[in-house]
Amino acid sequence: MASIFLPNRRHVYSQFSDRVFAILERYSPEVHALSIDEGVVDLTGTERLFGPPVKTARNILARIEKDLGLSASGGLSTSRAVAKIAATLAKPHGFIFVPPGTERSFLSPLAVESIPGVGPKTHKELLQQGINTIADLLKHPDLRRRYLDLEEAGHGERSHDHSIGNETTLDRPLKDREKMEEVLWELVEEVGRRLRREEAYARCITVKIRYSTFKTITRSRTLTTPTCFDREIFEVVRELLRKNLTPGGSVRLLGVSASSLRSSGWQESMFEIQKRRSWEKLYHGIDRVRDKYGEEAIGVARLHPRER
Amino acid sequence: MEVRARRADFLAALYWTQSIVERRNTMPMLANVLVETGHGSVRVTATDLEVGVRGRLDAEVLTEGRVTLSAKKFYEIVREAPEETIQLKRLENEWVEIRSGRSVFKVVGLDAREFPQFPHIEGEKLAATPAGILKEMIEKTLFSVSIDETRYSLNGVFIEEREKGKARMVATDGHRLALVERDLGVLGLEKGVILPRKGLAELKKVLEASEDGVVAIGFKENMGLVVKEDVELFMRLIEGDFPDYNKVIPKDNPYVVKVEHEALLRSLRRVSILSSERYKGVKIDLKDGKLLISANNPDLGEAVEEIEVEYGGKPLTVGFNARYLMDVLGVFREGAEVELEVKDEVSPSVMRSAGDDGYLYVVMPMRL
Repeated sequence: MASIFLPNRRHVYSQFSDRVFAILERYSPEVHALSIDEGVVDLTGTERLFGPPVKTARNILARIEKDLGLSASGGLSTSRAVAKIAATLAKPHGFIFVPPGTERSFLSPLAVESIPGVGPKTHKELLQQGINTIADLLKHPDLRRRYLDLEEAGHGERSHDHSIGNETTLDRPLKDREKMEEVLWELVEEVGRRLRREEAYARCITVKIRYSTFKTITRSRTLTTPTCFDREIFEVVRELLRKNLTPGGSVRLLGVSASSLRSSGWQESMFEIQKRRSWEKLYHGIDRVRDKYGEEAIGVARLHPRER
Repeated sequence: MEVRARRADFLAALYWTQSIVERRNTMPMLANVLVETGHGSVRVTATDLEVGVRGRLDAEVLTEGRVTLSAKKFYEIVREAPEETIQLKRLENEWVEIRSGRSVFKVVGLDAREFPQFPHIEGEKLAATPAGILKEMIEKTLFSVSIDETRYSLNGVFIEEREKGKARMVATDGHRLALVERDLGVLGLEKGVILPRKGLAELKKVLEASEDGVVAIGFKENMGLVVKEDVELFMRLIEGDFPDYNKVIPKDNPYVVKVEHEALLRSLRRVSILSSERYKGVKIDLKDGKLLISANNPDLGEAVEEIEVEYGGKPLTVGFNARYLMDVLGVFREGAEVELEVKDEVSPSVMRSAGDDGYLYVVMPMRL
């Protein structure tokens, strides 16, 4: 299996994301969006059509730049995790190929925090256990399985990615919380859409706030019942914002991410089941309309944020 | 204060205080017991402000008064005391002396005036209630109480009075709901109240001590009080609204299967060995005359077991958390058939123990 990973920094919510993914889809049917500006392409079996994956990966990057005028970077390897790490290292505007068999030697000297899914908290825990580099982590089979799946299968039952997230750097820094909530609502809509597309439900919702001082905080909440519904995600996001926003602080970036994804293995609340069933219908209906007529075709009237 | 009492009597009164005293040590006083004299006896009180217990014991009161001291240490000292008599004496600066034979302990105490007040309910406001039935009702509901502290109103058992001396207790964590109705006599409850989990767990212990007796039970403002012989227990009622549980009890689940209690419980125990540790998911397949229980765990393997049952409905597959099924089977009457009423794979199912109309259990299926 070969994967190419393409992160690029750009503004959220333009048509560009769709156009980038349209390019990716020309090369493989197996394209998975990890966020609005990150995607994974499975190049397994494309050799006869497009030649060696290394060449194809370079072509994809060149095409994104030529057709859309966007700078992109990429990583190519035998597993999704390694490709993503390589792509991040290749930033900006670079490309790193990790040939089969060299994954371990490529990863070993890197810090554990380069692994997608190892956030500040996990990083701290790992450091306490004396695990600094990926080489240290690979010595512990249980941790390896948990954080860095190198034997990840390209086919069969697909395990969900660590998270689905979306963030945006604001045109102008915001101080007004209601304005921030409007931005968050748009981010949530995108996250909800992608969750439903992947048939995933998230158990953990995280909000990221970066102030103009570049101080950045992330705050999460674990839910009793996993969700993929914009309304529910937004409720959590709004509460996290209200609780954690420094009054008067000027914010330059906002982000929302959904993690601890699953598609089975939980119980609905008997008090919520009717409501959730009608939401399921509602959101799938909206998604169908958008798939057919475009993102702008239909919107949900957002409840005006009112103090309870 | 100076008192003398039998070691065994002190031990019995202190026993009830041990699981009540505050462990987290947010208020040092709550780790202490209050020992006070009155009318030729001694009362020992402990509380964490949510739940409180007061025990009475016969004692020889040499001088009246009160002291507070560490509940844990006092209990240990009394338990290990060499003689059958314990003498307790208040010293200067809140120090307390505990003497038994040649053994003398001096422990630090706290000013007894700082100890929280025990609520007072007039004797006539208490209703006599059969202890055995009350205990059974607690057992049949307590396990369904939510442990999610953010869902405050679900952290206890709802109790309401029905007509003709019947009382109903309901507990739910949102995923399952247990409802029991029994003859408990008139309680004098104008509307339903929520009794906290910790208080009920303590009450159950008190009731276990003598099941055929009678306990006095009463409510006042935001307190519930239970008196049984020498032990008084109070609990602060949970404020908030218990959800409208009637709405979530399915009335017309069309598919009913009858299965032997013991067979179902044992099969679930076996099959769930291979279900995931966290969710305990098992699949139940119903088809003509058969109930299949299976578990599938990608890391471990799979298990399946077949039970012959009375079932003539359409084939159905529903996922459940095995823990939730085993919990209720554990309190169903042994030997009675279990009735499972199912609608489909996403709607709540109902479980009953045949012949017991006063008890039902609603359980949400698990998404498989």
